Amino acid sequence: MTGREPLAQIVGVGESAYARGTDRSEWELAVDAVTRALADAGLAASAVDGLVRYSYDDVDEAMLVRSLGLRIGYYSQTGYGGLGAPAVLAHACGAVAAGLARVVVCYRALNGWTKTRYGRAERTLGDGLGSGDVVASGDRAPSGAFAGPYGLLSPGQVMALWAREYQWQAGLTDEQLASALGQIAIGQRQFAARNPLAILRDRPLDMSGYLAGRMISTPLRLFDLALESDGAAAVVVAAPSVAKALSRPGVSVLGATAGLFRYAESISVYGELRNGPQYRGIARRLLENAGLRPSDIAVAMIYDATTISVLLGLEAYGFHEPFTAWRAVTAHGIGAASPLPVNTSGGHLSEAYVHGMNHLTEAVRQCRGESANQVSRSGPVLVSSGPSAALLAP
Amino acid sequence: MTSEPAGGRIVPAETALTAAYWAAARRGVVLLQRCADCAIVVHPPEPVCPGGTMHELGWFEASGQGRLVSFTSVEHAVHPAVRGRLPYLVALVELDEGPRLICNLAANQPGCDAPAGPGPGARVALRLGQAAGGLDLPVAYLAPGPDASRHTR
Repeated sequence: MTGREPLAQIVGVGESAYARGTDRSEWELAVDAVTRALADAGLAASAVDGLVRYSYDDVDEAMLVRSLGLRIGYYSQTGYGGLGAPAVLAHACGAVAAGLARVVVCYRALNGWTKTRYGRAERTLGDGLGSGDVVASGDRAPSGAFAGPYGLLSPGQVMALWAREYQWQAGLTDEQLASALGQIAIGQRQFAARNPLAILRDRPLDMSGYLAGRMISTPLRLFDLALESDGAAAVVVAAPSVAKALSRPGVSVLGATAGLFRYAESISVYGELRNGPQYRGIARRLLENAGLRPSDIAVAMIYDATTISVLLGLEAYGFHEPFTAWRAVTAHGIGAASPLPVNTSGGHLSEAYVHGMNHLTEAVRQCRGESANQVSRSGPVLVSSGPSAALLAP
Repeated sequence: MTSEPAGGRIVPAETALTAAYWAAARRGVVLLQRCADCAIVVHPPEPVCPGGTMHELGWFEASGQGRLVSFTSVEHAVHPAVRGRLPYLVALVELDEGPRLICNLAANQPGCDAPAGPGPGARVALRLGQAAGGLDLPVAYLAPGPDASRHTR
């Protein structure tokens, strides 16, 4: 299927418990997830010589180095929030392939319920509880100077603008859009029902329940939006020579890209919609470089801060032509029996919101045949977030 | 002091790069940058022309005319500063000069109260009005006409 050597191997995954509410700090959650990932790999902390994290993470490298007694020779960070999961993998693979490190741990820890609420604007504007004005700075689409004064304050509101733009370009009625987005929310909730890690595992959702969710920012309803949650996840990336000596085969990283072009930063509105030609170009190159076509992919883990991101991702990564994925998703859903199962852990909508790192752990489990929602077809797994993506294979 | 909703207004941080933009915006005028060398038009403002680093970007007054690329009715407040202003309409406008711009769609105008709201590509004109954050800034008004709510591209 592919003529290329893998960039590196993923040899371990781990996560803390996911919850809405915890008494554990991000530091403790990160240590927990990394410890579990190393145990999963069968590696001692002394084997780790590299760390890659999200620049957004409040747990810095030095904190993990102290807690785990690490001595590392490489560390780096990736920006732009949710674009980070494929990007940390790109950094780790680059370091391993260049011989800068042999065992690199990537992690994300987030008190997204008890501390930093990504669905709200206090993290950028302050609490606004004083009597004075609040100041919106920078030119970030939600809550920057050119958006905040107009009340465009959260990522979900920006994605509501994406959703309406998609609806108009595809020529859909409100009902048609809701049917497609609802299938994504429902499909992911069904996956969550079988995933013991998922926060919403005991909360079934059907179309009437989806439609009854209150409108947050039209056309997006409550269940179109990601959870806010507390938790951490980690993966261990290793050089082939390290992986070979371990008891269990590693998962191959066939490709990884941390993409960026004009206005492709995580939540912009100034450039093309996220199924546009530049996004499709990144996807095409990633797949071609790995010797793959979209139809080879067995599972797609597509960044789902909101349901519309999934439709856009399906089109950007070549599974459907632009403005047509809604039709396939409405007809076949995204579940285990659909042509392409998507976000098989429940994803950010129903498992937990760990900024993409929980997509990466699920992708690894699918490759190993260990997912709670294991697909029957064996094949490569795509992990994507806008212009950043990675390809994993058993 | 007048009484404002809890948390006061949401005001833009002004920088050396953006001070001229905001001075005009407070009069209801949208300033855009245009390159004297390659004619590219830029918003939000940038310090260097994306078409060539030696090029010269300068301000000009936009027509204020454009079309609606998208809009959302915000029904849930994500910050205390907008708690008293729900629901409000945020518009994504493609100006006739090219760039996209975020603003509010003025409420209580024909076309906005239809169940489906304004239609794809509706023509809009920007002029001074109250923004959702409490400042007077350029906001979008649907161009008058019997079909304003269903104007097509």
